[in-house]
Amino acid sequence: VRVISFAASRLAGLAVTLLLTSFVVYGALYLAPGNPIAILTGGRPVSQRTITAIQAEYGLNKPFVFSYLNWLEKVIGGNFGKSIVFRENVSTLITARVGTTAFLVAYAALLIIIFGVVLGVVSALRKGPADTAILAGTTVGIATPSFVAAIMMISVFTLGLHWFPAIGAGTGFADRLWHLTMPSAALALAGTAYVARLTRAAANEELAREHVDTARSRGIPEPLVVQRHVLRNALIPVTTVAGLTVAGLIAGSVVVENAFAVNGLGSYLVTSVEQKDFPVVQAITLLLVAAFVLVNSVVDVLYALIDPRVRLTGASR
Amino acid sequence: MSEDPRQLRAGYLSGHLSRRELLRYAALLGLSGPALTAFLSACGSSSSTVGATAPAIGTTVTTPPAKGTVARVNWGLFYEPPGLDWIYCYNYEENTVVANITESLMRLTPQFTIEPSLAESFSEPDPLTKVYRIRQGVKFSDGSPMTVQDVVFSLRRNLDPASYWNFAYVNVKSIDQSGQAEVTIKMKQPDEVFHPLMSTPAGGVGKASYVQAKGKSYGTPQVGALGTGPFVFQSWAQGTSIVLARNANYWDTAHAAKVGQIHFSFIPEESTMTTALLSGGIDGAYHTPYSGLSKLHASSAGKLYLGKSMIFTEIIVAGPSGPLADHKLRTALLLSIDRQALAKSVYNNGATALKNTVIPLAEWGYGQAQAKAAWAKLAPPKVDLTQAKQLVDQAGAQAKAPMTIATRASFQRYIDIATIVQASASQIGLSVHIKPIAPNDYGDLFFSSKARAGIDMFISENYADIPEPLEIVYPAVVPAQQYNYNNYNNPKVTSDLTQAIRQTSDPRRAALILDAQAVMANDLAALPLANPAVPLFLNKRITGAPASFCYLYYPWARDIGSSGQ
Repeated sequence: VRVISFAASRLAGLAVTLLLTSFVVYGALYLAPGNPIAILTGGRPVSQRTITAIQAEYGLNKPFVFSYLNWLEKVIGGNFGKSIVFRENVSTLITARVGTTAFLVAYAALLIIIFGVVLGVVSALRKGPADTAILAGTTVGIATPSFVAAIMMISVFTLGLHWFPAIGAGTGFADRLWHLTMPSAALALAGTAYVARLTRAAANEELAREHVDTARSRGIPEPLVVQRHVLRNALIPVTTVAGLTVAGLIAGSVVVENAFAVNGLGSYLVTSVEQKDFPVVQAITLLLVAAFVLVNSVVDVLYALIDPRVRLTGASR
Repeated sequence: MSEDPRQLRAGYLSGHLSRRELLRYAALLGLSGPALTAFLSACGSSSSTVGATAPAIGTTVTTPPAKGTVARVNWGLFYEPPGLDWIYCYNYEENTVVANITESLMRLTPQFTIEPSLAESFSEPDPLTKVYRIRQGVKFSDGSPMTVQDVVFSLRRNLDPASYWNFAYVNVKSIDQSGQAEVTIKMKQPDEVFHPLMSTPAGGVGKASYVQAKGKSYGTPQVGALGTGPFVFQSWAQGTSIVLARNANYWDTAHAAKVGQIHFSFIPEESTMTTALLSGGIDGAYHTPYSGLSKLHASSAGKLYLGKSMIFTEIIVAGPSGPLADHKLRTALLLSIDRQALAKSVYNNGATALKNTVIPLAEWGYGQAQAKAAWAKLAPPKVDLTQAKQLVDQAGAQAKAPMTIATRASFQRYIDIATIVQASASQIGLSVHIKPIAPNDYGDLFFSSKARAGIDMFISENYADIPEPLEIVYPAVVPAQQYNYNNYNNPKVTSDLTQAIRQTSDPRRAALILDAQAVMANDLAALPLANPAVPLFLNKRITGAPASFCYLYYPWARDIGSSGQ
């Protein structure tokens, strides 16, 4: 029952969030200057008659509330409409890209969680050079924006060593893995460093706790102490942060998608905003918001699993 | 005016890294401060030596001929074309792709002449009648023959104002079949710009039954396009690639494609495009980023060409009033700008300076000798601050008023140019304020007087579609024409150009335009700056592509093949 009410309240919250987002985004885009005509005609001069014809064809001369309600009505009917620029169904356009972004974000999330936690734990348990090196490395990592990481990786691994391709997302699993390794690494760099730092701090804190001392004094083998008493407790804050970091990757993917010419939702969102392609911007925004809410809900569930003191409640934290 | 989407992107990147408070460590992405400083210092040393092997700027038209076939070529585009229906193809990359699929009645050659293509011949029995004899034996890529009905249907599509090429048809009265293999176009008034435009998509031919059956989905990623060209549309993975395959039914057998497949990728980021070319991930691209020219030139991965182009950069005077209404101040401002340094720094040695005309010498497809002689008589683009200051003094109170130059936000070349204009103007005591305009809004400056309110001048990088200077000049300087924003009106110029547009003889038309050019060189209705070349990079394994600006309308990929290396 608790799980059902949790899910129901989350769903209701999601619906309200989506409705509000759609209104705000639509309004913002409507108020922002410019129009898709400049993109359609390449910004080159065309006759006034042509401009009028384009405006009529795409309903660009209708008032805001009218066009928003019109859009909303269609969406509720399951139809996201057609892209102004590509004259193609929005659902088709998005389906073509959602897989790439999902792969990229999942790959980066995996890198963040694995390397972040491992480095953090190593750093906490092995004092000395290892700890210092990891501290220095993570400092650089946190301070490196993903586009800078992208440029460095391309010059080293593509132009220098010829290990990875500079552009594209690849087809098929292995090819994708090969193409998206550099983008994922660039995307994951700062998050990994952050999670490593946090894991280190949390583990250090746990190591200094009384229950750890007690466990050690009772002669429990060190690996077991670390595993049961240090890591498990340290994972609570790490999960929260890692979850939020991963959710943030969805937005951060824009930068690396552009840098590596990867055809994903993020770069398409940017392009569509530039082109004022209303239906596409709306659909992608809603999708991203939904994904964000979903990831956060998953984090909440994980939280409850790790820490028995936490109960799933209807209200979000 | 040509909006490079790759440039628009950078501005949006900042602020997209927002995460929760807890995680606020996002990077600041910006290029204003340091980039500008670096830029200005580069301006100072712009006379830096160019290596002995530096490519010729803007004169190359072809590359060494292909020696053999190639199975696959990867080509880079700097944005994804919105569609491949030729009547909506009106900008760089959509034209780059569609030129290989949909051919036109006439063909723009790499040398900037107009030659027969799907039309076998052209005649003009009187100034109001244009007759095209349609080539027989031409097949669409599906094997069906191209008919006169297809031609009539295709040309008539442009009579709909929704066609971006509608402007070419403003003086057209009717388009009809006039014989078994003949189409006659009747004009409302003489218009010598119409015929050369038949080498662009304005004269494109598609298969009537196919286009009608597909309706609005013709040219979309799912349906693609069908034409007579050397390549066939094969697939379009939205956002990723467009694939064209060799057309086995191509009618022009002497020029059948030597490339089996051409894969187009979309690479908006400038540095990514440059890297992809350097690493061999992409075999070639037209209009490669100017920012990467020195790297591409130095690379052993392939060769960089800086082809002949019809692109021109100018400052447009935005309205009839304000300080720039004063001829003295326009002249003074242009005298203060170092156009040669600008061509080198803004375009990274990929452009040449314009003299006092917006018609690059390269644009003359006819009357070249006359144009060359006239060009020689124009004053060299020199800086003369003494004369400029005198003119400013003579202008009096008008000169004290600050001026505003509009620039497109996040478009580095325009920002660079605006900065140069501002710095140059301040040297002669004029004050210029830079007003950045949202990328999407910038195009409105060309259409709406409301958008131009409060703006004295704006920067434009535009191109002529055809080697006919009238296409650009006539609507910009004849009174009451669409792009004559500052109500420029010189009876001599108006008279010359209105005669020219009716003049069927090439030498006489050239003479009239050049007479007008000489007058305009003094009047300065707009301030000409540069003639950017077309950067083309080809991997060492391929060659043959034309190097000139013709690639927007000429089926360029048919000439590519193996270099033998």
